[in-house]
Amino acid sequence: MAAETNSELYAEIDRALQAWRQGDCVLGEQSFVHRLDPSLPVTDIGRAVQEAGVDLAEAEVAGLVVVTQSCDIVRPCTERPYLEVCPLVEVAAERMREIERGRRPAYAFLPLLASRGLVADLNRVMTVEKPVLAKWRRTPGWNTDAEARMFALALARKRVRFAFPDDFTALAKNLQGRLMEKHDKESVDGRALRALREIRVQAAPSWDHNSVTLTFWFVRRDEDIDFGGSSWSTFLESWLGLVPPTGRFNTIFGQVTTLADLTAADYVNSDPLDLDHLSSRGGG
Amino acid sequence: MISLAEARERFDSTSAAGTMLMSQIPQSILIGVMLAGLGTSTEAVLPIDLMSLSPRVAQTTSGLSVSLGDRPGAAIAELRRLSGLTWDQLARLFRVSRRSLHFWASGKAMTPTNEEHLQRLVAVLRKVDCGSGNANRAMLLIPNDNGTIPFDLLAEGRYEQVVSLLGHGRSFPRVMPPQLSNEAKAARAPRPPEELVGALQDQIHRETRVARAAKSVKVRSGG
Repeated sequence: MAAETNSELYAEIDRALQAWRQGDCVLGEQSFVHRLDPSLPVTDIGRAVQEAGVDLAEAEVAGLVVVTQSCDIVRPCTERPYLEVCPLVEVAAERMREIERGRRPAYAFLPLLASRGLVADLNRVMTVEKPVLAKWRRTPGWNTDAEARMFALALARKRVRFAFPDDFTALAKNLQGRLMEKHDKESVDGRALRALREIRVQAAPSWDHNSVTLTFWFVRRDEDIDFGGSSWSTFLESWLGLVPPTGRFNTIFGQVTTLADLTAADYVNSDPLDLDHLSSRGGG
Repeated sequence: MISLAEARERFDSTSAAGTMLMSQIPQSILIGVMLAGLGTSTEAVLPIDLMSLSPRVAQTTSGLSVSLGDRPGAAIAELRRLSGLTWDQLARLFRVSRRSLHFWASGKAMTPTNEEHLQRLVAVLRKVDCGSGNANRAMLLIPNDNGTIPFDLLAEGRYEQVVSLLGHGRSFPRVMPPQLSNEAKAARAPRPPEELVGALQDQIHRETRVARAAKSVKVRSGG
């Protein structure tokens, strides 16, 4: 009898979860629990509970966002009982744009919550059982497929971002600086760099080898046959000058190309140039 | 008859193929080369994957120029894809450095001679293409009965001789899927380069001050 009742309840939970998707949120006061070492708390939340001598802290947050993939959310709760949620946190308006642009990989932009000043804090994840979610009121975080994809990409990037070796980040420093220079310091080849679709780099035979050949793929957009009437090769010369062979990176090639001209192997064998800001190295 | 050792020696001693390639060539191909010396058709003993891709008909061709009408970058990419050759090997076809090849592909002007050479190379590869870059590369680098290596002939500009030697390939047409919409392409595009190289890691949100100790209940078994 009890088993039958439970199965009805499980079915009800499953029905309630059919409407939920990755990026959906619950707003209002919510609790977020994390574990700590009471002898050495390193966060304000940890310090606030230190005196109690416990190793679990429960913090109030402005809401939670589901980061589990939609296909797992809608599977039966008896088969897939867990969900992962991240806290929603408030950020200043001027920071919101940085998060939307992807400058802050620790946060994810949720378009429908931007007006409330809320973003997902990807540094913290909590596991909840599905019946907890079924009782929440769903607030969508995004509206379109493109927005959903951007949110998913932010989640992926937080976890799969390649940690380039330190000597490579040192080598790439000048190229990175040229990419980021703005306004009155701006150079033509810096603007050309920023007109690219993406920059990828391949290390052969591998990143950890003691003698490495680097190949930079500067991927331009199909329609940009040249940049401002100048051949891309002119800029390539300048860009390669910013990454001279150093240490174990003893041979360095580069090419401006299109996605169509790159082979699938070239793409898979290379990593997107994704680096921490020069002043915040040590993360990533 | 060319022995396996001789074939290996030839690979090692020619500019066309180094020891690296040798390790990639299946033994069955080399045996084919050996049998060629006995008057047996090399093709008859090529491994099945090569044979199935390459039912060739040897013939002489003429008029190997091709109107690419393409920018050099696309032509170099096609040459690389069709030939399966490495950048260093491609550079040897032009007797230039790999760096020069990358610069041509990036839009640097080629001399008319090199441009013509590129177009003719693409034309040859289109003709002899058996549908697989790897198979084409093996074909270009394996010496024929006389010890001639098609790669070396290409480097010397003896295009028609290569086609005559290798015959016409019968590659399957490449699948050209319909184009994505601009919106779909935009949604799949990565973040702009300048955003990706300036990632900021500091905490910027206002942390709540309301926190309390939570109680835990230990459960022995997982589940």
